[in-house]
Amino acid sequence: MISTTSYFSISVPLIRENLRRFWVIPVFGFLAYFFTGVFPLLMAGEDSYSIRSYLQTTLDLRNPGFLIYACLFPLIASAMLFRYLHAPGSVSVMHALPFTRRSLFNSHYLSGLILAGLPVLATGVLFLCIGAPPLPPEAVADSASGYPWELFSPLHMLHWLGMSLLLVIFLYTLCVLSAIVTGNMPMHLICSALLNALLPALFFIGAAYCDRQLFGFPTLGLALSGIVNLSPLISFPVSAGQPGAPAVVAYILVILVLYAVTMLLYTKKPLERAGDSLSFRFMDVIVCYFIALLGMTALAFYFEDAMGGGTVSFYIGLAVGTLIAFFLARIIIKRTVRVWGRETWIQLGAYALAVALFLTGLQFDLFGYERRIPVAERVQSFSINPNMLSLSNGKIVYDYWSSAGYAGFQDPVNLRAIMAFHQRITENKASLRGADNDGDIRTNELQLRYTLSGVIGTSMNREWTLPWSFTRGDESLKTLVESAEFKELNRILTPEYPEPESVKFSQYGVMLDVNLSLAERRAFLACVEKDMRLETYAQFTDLANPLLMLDITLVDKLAGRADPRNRYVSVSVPRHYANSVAWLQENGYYEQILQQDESISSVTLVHYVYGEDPYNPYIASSTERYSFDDPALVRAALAQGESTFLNYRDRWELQFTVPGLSDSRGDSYYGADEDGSYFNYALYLNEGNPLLAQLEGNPLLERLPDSQ
Amino acid sequence: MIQVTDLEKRFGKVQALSSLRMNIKKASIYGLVGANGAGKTTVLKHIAGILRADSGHVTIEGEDVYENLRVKERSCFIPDDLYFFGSYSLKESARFYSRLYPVWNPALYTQMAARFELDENRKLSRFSKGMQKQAAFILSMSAAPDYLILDEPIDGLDPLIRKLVWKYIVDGVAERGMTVLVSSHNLREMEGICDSIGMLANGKMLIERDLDELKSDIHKVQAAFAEDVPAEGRYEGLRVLHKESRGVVDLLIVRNPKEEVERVIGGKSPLIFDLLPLSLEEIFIYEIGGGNHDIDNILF
Repeated sequence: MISTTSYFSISVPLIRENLRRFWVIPVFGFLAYFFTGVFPLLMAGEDSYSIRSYLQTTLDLRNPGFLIYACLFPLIASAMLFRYLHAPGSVSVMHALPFTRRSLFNSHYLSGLILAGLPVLATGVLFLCIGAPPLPPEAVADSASGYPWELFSPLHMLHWLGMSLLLVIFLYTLCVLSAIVTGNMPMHLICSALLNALLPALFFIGAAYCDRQLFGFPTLGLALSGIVNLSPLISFPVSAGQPGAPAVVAYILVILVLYAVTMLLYTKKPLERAGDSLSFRFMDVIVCYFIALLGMTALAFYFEDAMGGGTVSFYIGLAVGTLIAFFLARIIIKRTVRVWGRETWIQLGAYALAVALFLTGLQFDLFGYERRIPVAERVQSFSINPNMLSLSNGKIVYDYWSSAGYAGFQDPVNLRAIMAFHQRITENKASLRGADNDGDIRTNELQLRYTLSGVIGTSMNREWTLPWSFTRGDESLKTLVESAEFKELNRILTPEYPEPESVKFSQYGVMLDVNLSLAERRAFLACVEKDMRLETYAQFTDLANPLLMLDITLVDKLAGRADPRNRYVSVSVPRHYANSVAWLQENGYYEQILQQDESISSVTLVHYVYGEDPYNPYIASSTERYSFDDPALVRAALAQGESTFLNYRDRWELQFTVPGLSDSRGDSYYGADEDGSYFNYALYLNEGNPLLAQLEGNPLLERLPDSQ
Repeated sequence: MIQVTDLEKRFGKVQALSSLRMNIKKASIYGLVGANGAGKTTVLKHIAGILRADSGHVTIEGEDVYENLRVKERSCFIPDDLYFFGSYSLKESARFYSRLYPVWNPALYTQMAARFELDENRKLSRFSKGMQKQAAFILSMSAAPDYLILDEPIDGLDPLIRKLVWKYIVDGVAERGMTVLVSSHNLREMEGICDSIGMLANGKMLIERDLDELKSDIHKVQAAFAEDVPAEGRYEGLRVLHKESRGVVDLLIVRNPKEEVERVIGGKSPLIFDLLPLSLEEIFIYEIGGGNHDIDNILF
């Protein structure tokens, strides 16, 4: 009855007994899946529209219940099947029976796969039964959203089944690995939970240190995808059950490797350590170090950030966290509080040395990360985040779903320009570092991605927080922004999205009642694009209050796209866009736009200075307040006011009041003046703004009493 | 036969077994004795194929035991610390064992279950420790092993059941040529059943002999002589392992054949001469205790 093939030998009687002993696991598993997934569908009957989103969530592997079951039942199966490893008596009896270690392991592993996989399989079969025949044609696509709703198709069900089984097998294999490397049940359960989070945790910890120490390290923006893909438990729900073929292949390979490693460990497992925390002596120090790393990191960042203590607190946190976590880990592993031996101190010393080397390496950039600029010959293209050069009121702000703006620049002139800019950053890193922590300085978040040639290292990513003053006058960026390639890549209408379905005007957050015909939309956007092509870098980075904002909806017209989605684009129209302004004037919209400007009843000019208020020294409080309502001066304020301030600590703010507008918009949206009066929107006068000189000593200004 | 050659095993910093050698003849009952922590269970687990040796070999009929399915199908191990599948009865366990062991003997199982008067349908986890030992014994014997390895098999059994257990063991040896390796602290019962004895101390084999040979070779002597017999030459020619005097009476442990002792001491016309064989328990105490005076007091 026992197959004796070498690596994949199994014992059929043992598998049969396992299934007989633990039949309750798949039964309860199936009931859980049934009442969470299938039962609601059956109850819904023909009114399946009402639970579309629920079914969609389930099939996208985002159903929280299903995710919990995917973790729970493999864990229970592994705990039940391999618990004999956790007591000296049972481990002796099982290994004295006529099995080889491989056949014993394989038989239990396979038994667990069946026990944990059966509920998923049965649920999948039920889904398939329910799903056939598919919904009527009118239910296939929802015309309102353009989103496909053919959820009952066998393809969707099979996809769910495949992905769910993959997830269960992955998690079960991790649980089995935990059972093999631990020596008792509590440690098995803890280790199973930790293993699922191990790689993302290590990745996150590494990224946290690199982000803190290395200037230019791409943090969550670029690294998050890496963390997500490290575990299917995260990547499947995040990707709505569509992790992509490479990820699926990678997970299958990981399962195979984990299986092979686990079987190898089982054959080498020292059975005499049954009951101990860990089965393998070499793991004692690894687990200690991992727990120490977790404790050290948590306390260091907590001390630095939550307690606001800065670098000294960070290093105190490192030391305290290491000591607490390391000794706690030793106590857990050795199951005694007597862990103060020589071996412990040696291990702690080695850990401290490794951490010191690691942090020193990061601190002094011993690996040359911050200085590294790609070799020009290897750079094929690069991309930057589209709104990085224009603060938050970007010239073009693409919608969330779009990857537009990240299109690759390939013009050699632009490649040289961006590398020169990169070079300038590395040369000035000492003065630039820390800009992200200074909340008083206006900064830009620059994400730079190089695509390189070659088999290894085909991309290079950097992310910096740069002061506005550093980027505003940069010659390299000027070259880039004024290039034809930049203009082409930043067009509003693209071959994929050639048709503007709607163009809406807004001013100061208020939608104007303007409806353009298709011909008008096309004509107007052609003017805007022409102005964008003519725009200089100085104009591009100008913070002047734009004439209006455009909210554009572009329809995905590309034939054959499986998942069509509209694109939403916001574009600002500055007052220097001559062609656009001319078109608005010629077509009678300009006056309508200016109407709101004309309705401004008064403007309050407030000078805010940091630290002047003795009762609240940590904010910038008003020191001077003026009011004016002269129409010419108001127009000048609208034209020359800037949309953001560059220095929080010393700023002039123009607060505009439009009668009737505050009632409809509410004070919370726009803010309230210090004396309780409302204003509708604000502009700023940064240092060097010519309006400041014009307003200084102007008799049209009325000094208001100090609100304090 | 079972052969252990230069077996070494270390548990962390503890050297559990050191250069251990054992020879267990086919169709014999071999008793493994030793103090607590001497390494008896560790030896048994190596012979049962549970533990892997750091170095050395454990063979049965010339084949390495570890990871050897053929050998394992012909041997059974009953540990001191028993384990059964949680919800299983004796009958269910028997069904499982019958699928694992190629020469399962259903008739013997039925007979033994009846003789030991165990409820076959009751959960094994509900049995007392002694009943669980009986169940394990029934299952193992019904598998008709050629090699039976027992760790403290009669610990916790009442005298009647102990006799029954020994009977089945002796029958198995006599009828099928089964080889039995048994470890126990009940040396009196071991003395009555074992063919050979291995005495283990600190992971090393102290003595390994046939029991009869061992007992015929070592004796306890009480002797007293007239004053004219010189004290120096009284025991010349004997291997005196231990000697002490209480008044005019000498108390000795000697390792010589009985005839040799009688010849040497009897030839000197002793006033008192008693020659007594040592029991296994006494040999154990003497060998394990060495020159310890407290142990001397137990012996005499």
